[in-house]
Amino acid sequence: MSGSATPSVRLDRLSKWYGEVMGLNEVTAEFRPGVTGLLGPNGAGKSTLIKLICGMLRPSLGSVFVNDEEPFNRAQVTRRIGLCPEQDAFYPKASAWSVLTYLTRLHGFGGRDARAIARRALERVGLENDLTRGVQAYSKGMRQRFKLAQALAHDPDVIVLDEPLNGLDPPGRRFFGDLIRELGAEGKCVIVSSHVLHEVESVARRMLVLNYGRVLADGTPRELRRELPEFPLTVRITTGAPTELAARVMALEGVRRVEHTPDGLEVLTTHPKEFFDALSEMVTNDDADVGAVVPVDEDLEAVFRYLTKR
Amino acid sequence: MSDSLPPLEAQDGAASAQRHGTGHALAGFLPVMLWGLRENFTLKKLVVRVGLAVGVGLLGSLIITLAKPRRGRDPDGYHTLWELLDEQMLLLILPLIALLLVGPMFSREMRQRTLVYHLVRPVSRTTVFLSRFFAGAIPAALLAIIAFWSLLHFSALGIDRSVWSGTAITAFMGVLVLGAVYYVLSAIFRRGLIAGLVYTFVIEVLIGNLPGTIQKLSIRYHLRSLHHGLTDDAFVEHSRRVARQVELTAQGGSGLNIRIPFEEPATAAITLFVITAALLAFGCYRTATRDFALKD
Repeated sequence: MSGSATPSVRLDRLSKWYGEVMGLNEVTAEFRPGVTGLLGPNGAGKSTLIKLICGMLRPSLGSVFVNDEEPFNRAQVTRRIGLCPEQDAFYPKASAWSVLTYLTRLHGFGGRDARAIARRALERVGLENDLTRGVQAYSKGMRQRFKLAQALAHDPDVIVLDEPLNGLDPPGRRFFGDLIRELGAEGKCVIVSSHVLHEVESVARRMLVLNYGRVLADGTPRELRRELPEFPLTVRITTGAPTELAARVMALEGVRRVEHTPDGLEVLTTHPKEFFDALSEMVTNDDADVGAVVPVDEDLEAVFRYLTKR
Repeated sequence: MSDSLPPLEAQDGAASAQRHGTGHALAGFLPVMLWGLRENFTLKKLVVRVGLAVGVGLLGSLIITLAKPRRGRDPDGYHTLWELLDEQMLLLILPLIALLLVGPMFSREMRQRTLVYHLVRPVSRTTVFLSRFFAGAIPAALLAIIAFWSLLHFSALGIDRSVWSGTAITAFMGVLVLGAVYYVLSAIFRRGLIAGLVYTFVIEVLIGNLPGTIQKLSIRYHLRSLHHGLTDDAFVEHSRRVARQVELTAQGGSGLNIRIPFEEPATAAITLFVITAALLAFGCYRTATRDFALKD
């Protein structure tokens, strides 16, 4: 990596209003090297946050720091950022290679170097056979690749990808996922926004969940769950005596629902820790017939759904 | 193609040094301007625009030819040419060229959202703003000069050299200053074209035609001052009718329906430069301090 030792983005009570509409409300967070998912439904404030990080918007209150400097209209800061915007943005009739060469030249590269760098970036995203085609004639997936190429060409330290997987077919998603993971492993500070959780779940180890301009949760899926003790959890229990176990489980605090399944029971509890302790006691002290115990919705989708709807 | 690429290892070293170097305030001016020129003037567009500019000149000369027999007091057509330059070219063609070719240069970047690529690159907003302006204004000014010169050429009146240079200076300054107006309006307002038309109607047409010194608020007053100051002497030599109207205008009469004397061409040129610089400075300030959400 050719950037600073620890590329980072820091948000300190960051707020942004659009007139009387609150876009972002006192967000404090930090993004470090590696991949971080920025999650939230449409209108949650993800794009506003991204534009603040990229210096396109000025904070109404609070601060944003990219590598310890404020980015708004500061070329020396934003030069270290690679942004893949959500919406299509291209020059009609200009080829991908020529646009990318031009954008690379803005970083101070000479024409020959810029051409080589642009070509390499386009090759990296799999557009080597379409270098000279107009971006306008590209398919949706190819345009996404082009936008990613222009974000990566100048080897930035901080890479911000706004809904990068939108409109991609499964092979494209796999390709993007691998590339994003690769960038994180290289030590880049990669921020990937999405409103679809499973898109980000596979590439990001850490998540920042936004809704209505506020941070709802911040951490790994496991940490998110731990921070939410009352988050309802569905547990599948394999048992040979489902009726007997169901009666005992129903008596536990926090159990909201018990359903029979072919192998045993499915239990919904709002007190997972207490539930697992009690179940463990039943097995040890009362010799209850309990086989496997598997939490079925510990995936991020459930956390996300719960957070954004509560 | 790949044979001509530099070795990547060597390139990386130089690249990294360049990437982290500090540039001056207007670093990137030339690449942005060249890209703007390339985007705005493809071969096809160039041919069409030059053709239109020449066509304007041809049309003007046709008007002079057709007007000759009906104008007993202007047998050679000098007065008609003089009026054409003042009314149609200066007050119609110049604003049109500036509005269509210079005005949208920055707003187009916003509309097609390609501005986003510049905002995260080591090139200041001011640089992008200024370079895009010149990418539009310089070729537009050349087109305006082509239109003016085509009119002089096709009218075949044996015009003095001072008229050629005078019209070129006026065309250049006119596109620069009017271009700056439309460019800044387009950068500020969502519907820049409409804002430009409103400005033209209110300031240039309404206020510019009011009797008295209030006319000086319009750009057309200063442009006309420059144009007439540079070219009238040559026309006066050839046409007594022009001479009479110039004299009337100088006395604040109704010579050119202006009712106040023109200012000195040097004063007019300085005024136009100051207006252009002030507009661009305001545009730069506005661009540097505003938010760019670049939504749909």
